Amino acid sequence: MSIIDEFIDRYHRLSRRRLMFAVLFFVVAAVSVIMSLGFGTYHISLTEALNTFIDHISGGVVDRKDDLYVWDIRLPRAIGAAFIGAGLAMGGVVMQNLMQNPLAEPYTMGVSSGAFLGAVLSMMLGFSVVPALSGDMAVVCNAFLFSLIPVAIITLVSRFKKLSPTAIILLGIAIMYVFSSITQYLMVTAEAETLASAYHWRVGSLSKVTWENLPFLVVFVTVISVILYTFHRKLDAMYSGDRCAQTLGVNPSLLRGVCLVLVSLMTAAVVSFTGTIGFIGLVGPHIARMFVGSSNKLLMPSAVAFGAAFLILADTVAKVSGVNGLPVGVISSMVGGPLFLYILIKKNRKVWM
Amino acid sequence: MNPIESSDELVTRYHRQALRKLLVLVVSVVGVIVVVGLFSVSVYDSVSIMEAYGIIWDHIMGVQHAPRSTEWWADRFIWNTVMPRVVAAIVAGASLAAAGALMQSLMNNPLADPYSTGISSGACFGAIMALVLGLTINSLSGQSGMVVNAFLGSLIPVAIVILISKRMPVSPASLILVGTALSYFFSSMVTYMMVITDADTLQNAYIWQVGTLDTVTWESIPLMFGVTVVGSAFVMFLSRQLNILSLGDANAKTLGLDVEKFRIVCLLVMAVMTASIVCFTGTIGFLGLVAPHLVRLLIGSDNRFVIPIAMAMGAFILVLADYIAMSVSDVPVGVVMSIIGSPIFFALILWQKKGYGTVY
Amino acid sequence: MKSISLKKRTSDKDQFAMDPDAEIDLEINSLSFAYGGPDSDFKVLSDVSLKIHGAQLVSILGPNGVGKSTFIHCLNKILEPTGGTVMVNDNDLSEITVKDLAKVMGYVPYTSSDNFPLSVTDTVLMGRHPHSKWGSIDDDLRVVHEMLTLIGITDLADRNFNELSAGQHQKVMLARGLAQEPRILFLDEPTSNLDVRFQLEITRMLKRLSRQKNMLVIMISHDINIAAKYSDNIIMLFDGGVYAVGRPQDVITSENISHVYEVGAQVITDNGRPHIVLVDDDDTDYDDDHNYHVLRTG
Repeated sequence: MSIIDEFIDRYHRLSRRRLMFAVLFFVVAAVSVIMSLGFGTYHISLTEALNTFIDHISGGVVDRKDDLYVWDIRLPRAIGAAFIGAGLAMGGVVMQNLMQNPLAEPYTMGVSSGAFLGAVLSMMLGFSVVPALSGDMAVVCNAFLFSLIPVAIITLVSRFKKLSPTAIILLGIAIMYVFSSITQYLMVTAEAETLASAYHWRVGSLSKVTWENLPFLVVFVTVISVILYTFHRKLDAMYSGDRCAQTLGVNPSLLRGVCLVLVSLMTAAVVSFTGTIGFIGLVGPHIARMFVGSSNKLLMPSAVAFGAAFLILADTVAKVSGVNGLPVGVISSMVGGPLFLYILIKKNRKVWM
Repeated sequence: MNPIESSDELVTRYHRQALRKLLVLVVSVVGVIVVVGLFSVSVYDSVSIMEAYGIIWDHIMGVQHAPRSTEWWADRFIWNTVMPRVVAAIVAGASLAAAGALMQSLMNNPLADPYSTGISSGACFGAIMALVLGLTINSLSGQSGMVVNAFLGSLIPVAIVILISKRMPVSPASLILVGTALSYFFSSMVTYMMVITDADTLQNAYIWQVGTLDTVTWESIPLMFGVTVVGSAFVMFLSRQLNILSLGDANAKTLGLDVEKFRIVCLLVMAVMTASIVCFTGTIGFLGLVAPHLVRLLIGSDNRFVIPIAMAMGAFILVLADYIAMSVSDVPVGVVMSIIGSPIFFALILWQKKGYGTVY
Repeated sequence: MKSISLKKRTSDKDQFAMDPDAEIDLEINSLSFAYGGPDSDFKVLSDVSLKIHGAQLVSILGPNGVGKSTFIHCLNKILEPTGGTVMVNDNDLSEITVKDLAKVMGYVPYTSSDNFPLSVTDTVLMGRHPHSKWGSIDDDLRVVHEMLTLIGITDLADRNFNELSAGQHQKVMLARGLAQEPRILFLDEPTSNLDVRFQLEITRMLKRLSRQKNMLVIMISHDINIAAKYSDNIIMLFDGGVYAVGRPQDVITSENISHVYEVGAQVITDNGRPHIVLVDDDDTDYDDDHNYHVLRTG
């Protein structure tokens, strides 16, 4: 074998080895989806749950009630968890890369504060952007549309003025403050009960994921993630700054604009159904980065796999903890915070910057 | 910028900049005084603004008024309802702004604020533990139990940072990452407690979290004031070192600054300063992040001037926001501040001129 | 070795492409640049006109702050000139898209603030982005390996970029610029962090590559002697314009050096190339008889 072939071979071998991280977590995610069918407040053993699952696929439903819980409640929730975790992690990877900031996350542009304002307006004042809707659908729809306002403002502004990444982050924060101050005003002046229900909405729960809305989520996350993945080489070039990226044939402002809109759409779709699930979008990419490096070709699938596996596991714990137990957003931060801290110290190496 | 032709021009330019700094300082201080007057009149409207100043001055000078005279009533009203609130606003505004400026230089990051290492979520954790679970240190109850809990809670994250600082690089990036991880952890605990409690307790806890000056009394002032005076003196004393730090870690080391140790010491000072405010007022956001930026945009980024002027500016903003909060309706001051302040911040980012302390 | 992978696109006239065998023509017509727009007081370059023809090594010299980097940034579209035009083989630079331009022009920046844990191979691979196609990256990896070998950093291939020294950064960035296989390569002080051996080797290699790959190499330099030793032509910038341009022996004269850099210089000739020896006008004698020494003691 010539030296060059050996070099190429070694590169591919290394890539494959790093990609094992992604494969491992994909397997964990897939297994967790199946296993999580056996966990929840409704008592059914894991084997029974799996049997019910297999029965449903083969077309012979034995116990209607078991089938309702396993097939209609648990399965969409588990699949939803996988896609939501994957989408948030993907969004985090792209945001950190675009903003050249390790603290960027899918919510950096003010998506979550927009969604929350939309939801609160609907819950407290009965305001709905789409007039025909009411109740839960109005909340979801409001949240979705409001969460896109910040990115719309920033896109509009960037047409008139060239914005650096820091300026975009700062503008995002300014918009976030405006939105959350209005929300706070509404929350503080609201009745205690209304405040409580709004607060519960924000904390984030996957219980609202059903077969009806799951396709919407899956399509958004899958299509946008795939589009973002096709940008992986362009995004790699962005690591070395806007100027260098340009000399490598990438239009930095255009790429940033397009990616911001895509990430915001994806995050909006997730947040409007589940509320704000923190941690994964910020820390998921960093954990994957520690194992596979920053090359987007490997980082993107790894972060996606990690995010999916992590959120299903967190949601399984949430389900086990009972109806009034821990919300999934709380679990993901409660476990993830220390985990991240541990890895940071243990690895004792520069995560980024 | 034009080239400087002569030494005279350099001198005039220097003086012009000094004048600008002085102007910002004077506007802030005068602003505070004006708002104090307005505040007093709004609580007790049978005196004019000038009389209100007279009454405050008399009280400070120890002049006694005849019982039940107009002055006596005015004195009681102003001194017991307005002043603790105003003094708290001034102290808290100054302290949070100084801490914010310190944090931004320390972390070399324009997005850092006093809460960046998890102080706010730690404080919430302490306070809400008292509020929801009734768990307090020394089994103090009610308001004081909450204050002590919040104070101690806010120091936990910094204590953890200091404990593990030996085992990790004390670079701004890793400190912020650690702070973020800690914030996430403590906020998740807070969220958990908020979710399991009943609606009324949640409402109380939420209002505490948003931050308000309604509950401040004279008893709160000495600790806040003392810590702020000592802390800000310390910060100003270090402003030269902070300037050196802005050159980057490696350069700062060659200029004789023990960067890691300096960062840890500053972090500790900042934590105590912020904790002493937060435990009484809840987490008032926005100010610590934005006040230093506003000042930098106006006068440039020399820390020797930024810190004192940011303190004056912070005090002014908070007093003004509190006045508006009280006169419009009973909205928490934090809400008012962000509703008014964030559009201004937005505009400043967009239309700032290059040259003066650009944020980015 | 693969030839430069530029193919003339006949089907799409709007897209800019260059024939690999065509001679390079870079024409700069009354180029001006001012930070903050044409009316700003902060003028850097005014009315620069030059014609650069053929594959060669060109050095840009000039004192600090004269606008060398700005000049280069105007030529590779990082900055938009406030006046004048730049023509690349009769194509107006302002009408060439960034993507098409990247296939023809490469750039090696002075500082690499890049601090990401990307492996050296992946970093150099970035340079292949303008030529990337769907499917296998093996051809790109071949080019990467060739450049790593050329610069002599194959041993760094798997290391992360943020773990390297300043000199190693410079070599990696250089490899990335070469991996782009451009027709025109701009370099901003490419050897400033390298030791003497590599200063010579890299500059000599740039000259050799300009011949082998039919490539125009334009580099900013502060080392007058290295520039004089290897450059085919030298552009000396001063006071917002071109002060002198031409062969090293015509540009590197003691008059030019003392006027532009404001230091005394004596020019000697070495192998037919000018070589300067700096003259210090301050004749204070510090080498008096006070006591100093450095001794090895171990």
